[in-house]
Amino acid sequence: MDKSERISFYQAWLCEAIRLQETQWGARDDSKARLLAQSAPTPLKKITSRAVTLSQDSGIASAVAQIKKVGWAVVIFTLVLAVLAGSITSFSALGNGMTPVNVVWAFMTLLAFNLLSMAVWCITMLSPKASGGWLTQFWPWLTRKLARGPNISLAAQAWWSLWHQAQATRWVMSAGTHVIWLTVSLATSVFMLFSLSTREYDFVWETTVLSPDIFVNWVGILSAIPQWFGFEVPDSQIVRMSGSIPQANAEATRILWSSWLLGSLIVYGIIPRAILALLSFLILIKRSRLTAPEITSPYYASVLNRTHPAFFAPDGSPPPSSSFVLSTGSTLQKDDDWKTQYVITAIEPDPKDVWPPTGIGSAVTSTSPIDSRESRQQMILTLSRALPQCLVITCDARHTPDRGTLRLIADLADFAKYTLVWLRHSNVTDAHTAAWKTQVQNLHGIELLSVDESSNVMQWFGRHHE
Amino acid sequence: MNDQRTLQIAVVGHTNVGKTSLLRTLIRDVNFGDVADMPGSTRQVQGARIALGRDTALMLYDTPGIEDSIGLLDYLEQLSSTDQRLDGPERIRLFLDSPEAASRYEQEARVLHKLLGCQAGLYVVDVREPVLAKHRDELAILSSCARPLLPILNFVANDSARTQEWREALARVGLHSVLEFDSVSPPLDGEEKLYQALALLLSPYQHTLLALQQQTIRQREARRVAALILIAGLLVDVAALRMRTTTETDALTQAIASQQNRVRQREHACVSALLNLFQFRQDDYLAGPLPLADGRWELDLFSQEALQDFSIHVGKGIAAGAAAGATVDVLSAGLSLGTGMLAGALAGGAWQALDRWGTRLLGQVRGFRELTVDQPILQLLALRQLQLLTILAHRGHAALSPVSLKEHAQQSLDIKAFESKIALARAHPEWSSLGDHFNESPARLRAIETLARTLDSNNT
Repeated sequence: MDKSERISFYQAWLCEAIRLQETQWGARDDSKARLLAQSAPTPLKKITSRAVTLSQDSGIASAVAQIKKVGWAVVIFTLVLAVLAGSITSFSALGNGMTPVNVVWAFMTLLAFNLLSMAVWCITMLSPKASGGWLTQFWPWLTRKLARGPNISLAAQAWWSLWHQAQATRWVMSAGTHVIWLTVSLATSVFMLFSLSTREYDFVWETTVLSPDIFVNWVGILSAIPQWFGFEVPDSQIVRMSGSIPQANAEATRILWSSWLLGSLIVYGIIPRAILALLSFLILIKRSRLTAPEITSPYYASVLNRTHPAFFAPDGSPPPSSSFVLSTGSTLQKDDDWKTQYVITAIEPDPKDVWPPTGIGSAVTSTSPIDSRESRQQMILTLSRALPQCLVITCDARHTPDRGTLRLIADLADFAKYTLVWLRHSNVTDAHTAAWKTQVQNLHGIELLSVDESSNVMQWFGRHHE
Repeated sequence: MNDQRTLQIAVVGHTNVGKTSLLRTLIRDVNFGDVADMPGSTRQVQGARIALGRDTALMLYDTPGIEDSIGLLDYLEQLSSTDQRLDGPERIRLFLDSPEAASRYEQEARVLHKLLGCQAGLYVVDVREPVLAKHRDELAILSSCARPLLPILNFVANDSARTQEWREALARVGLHSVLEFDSVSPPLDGEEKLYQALALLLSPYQHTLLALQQQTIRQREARRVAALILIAGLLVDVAALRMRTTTETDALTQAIASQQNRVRQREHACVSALLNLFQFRQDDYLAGPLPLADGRWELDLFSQEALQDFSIHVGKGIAAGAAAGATVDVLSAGLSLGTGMLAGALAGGAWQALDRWGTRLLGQVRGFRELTVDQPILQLLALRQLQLLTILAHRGHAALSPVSLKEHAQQSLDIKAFESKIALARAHPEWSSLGDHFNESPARLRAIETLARTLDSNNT
């Protein structure tokens, strides 16, 4: 897909809302929208234009706008909460400075929940059915509670549906989770810096049952990465000495410990979250391209079919002259010219039919049926010699009365005074019988009998007996 | 996509054999041309494009019917009975320049002119008609154009089809590759076979035609998946619907009526969406012009007959109850639903168990009940929609008679798998877009997809 063919997420959202509405509640009346869409250059633009018009007319566009507004408000509100949570975390980690800070407890307060939730996130991402945890429900729930008005649920549904189609719902929620934790951690670090700058804290560690070596090792292992990032960390000597009692050369130790705590928070809390948030957003940006309407999908194919039919008007040639007119005026008009009384023939009869038809009296001359070019010519010759007064042409109503047949009927009728087209098997298809009736009516002077009874034919002969 | 010109194919044949019908079915558009069981419905050449991706790969031209082939062949012979020896196309060109081409054989001239301008022709045959002299002459004229012809045997599904007779007649004029394609009820893979046959006939365009064949298969599959998603969406909406009511008779009756109304409208919308998806007109299925307004149906969803028609067993309890189709559940405010997949499924099961033994007792205690749509109704809905899907997939866009649900074999449903998916939906009232607390979630979208797959595995 080339770049000019891209549409904005907002437009894709409107398209999806219209799609959902039409598939859940039936097609919209889109005559105006379709008209406007016709001027759009490409199929995708046509679809978008139609959806934008439809959604503006029905208030879906304003519902989408409202959800966007409320959604951002909810996001900002959540982030404010996150900043608040950061300040509380910082305060509970460091305390008010009156009592020494237990570094183990401070570390846990700063990072335990953060790391735990990261682990949970990792596990859920491995599961194919992951939906993103409680946040999946919370943000949309709050947005839905706050946004009021018609079409809100449709707009929300479309938003989810878009991300679902792009297979990105879990990344939407991941981005949310990581941004919140990132905000919490950043706020914590800022408040910590502030507290550390303006208060004096002593750092201790305590144990009742464990050996000090365990603690020294633990700090050593955790320090490795922050140290690599350039944070100053206490060496094992200082760690060992910080056990329970605040030291004499406290100044340097304090700085070392606060650097270690801050470094741990940044390295284990902020940086991974920042990377994950960035990753989620990158994936979302990439996947958001998949939210554009898939013009080859069956739904959009049917929409396009209406905005942009696959066929076009007939070629430039003028329409044919309406219905053709056959000359049926007999060239032989003198009464005494008629040599035979009754002749019956058939055009392309069903081979299964008995010929001549039962019930046709012996006074009637029956000729062999016309079923080929040769028999046509033969028949015309025969009739030109026989010149019957009454001619019956049997036709099969199941056949289509085409122009060739009608022309033949007209040609044959030229040699007779009275002509009757006897339609057999006329009860089979009504549309064909109707077609025969209109077509034979156009041949002036020729009668039509659509009753499949030879007695009616005999009656007709009787009527025209002179 | 390639430097070749777009492949152009003329659809030719005797009058009233279904040329326009064939085109309608091929481009899946009921609005193309005029179709009537009358000769000469098509008077002018009309084109339809078939796209491959974003490019037009194939142009199909609908032509007027040939009506006077015997006369025309005579005239052609008369024209070429001069000293010079003319080959087929030269004779046709001679005819096109003649005065009769503008008057008596104007319609035929349009056809031949178009066929000469195309790379191939589809010769449509109505196999209900016997092979007559006029058809033989028609073939003789068309083969004079020296364009590859692929005979299409239309109406082969008809009882009075003379398929063999036609095959023999076509073989006599060297047309051995013949395609059976009923434009009213085309075979599922009819289009693919058509492209395949054309690819054999037109080797320079083989690449395009085979790509079209692949595209047809992909699109058919995509349509099927989309349709199943629509049906699954309907089922989830209906299964998850819960309406709260008191036990008073009036309120209950009112709630049931309201519930049934919502479900009927939802089913109607699904039918309408399916018709749209397969590009049929709305009146191809629905009996009345305003079915949504009054919600009436040919076969009412909640009637006992409808259930019996689909041989769904209705339990005694429901048949004896005041309202068939509505199951009254006890509202349990304390039970938290939707806490997770497993919990949801369990809750759904518990819900039903509760329904079996404790309805009356607990209902009296709490004074509230919840109305859900009963299992047989959901099965009926599923079967009916699946049946409609099958019919639409087999229906040609030339069909003029409306869809009747009785004309096709019944669908099968793996009740066990179906019920487990439905039970999950039942446990999530917020999944129903019919309910008052609808809330879209990825879980609902996933549930719809899973249910669609379940429906699919039963009916492939």
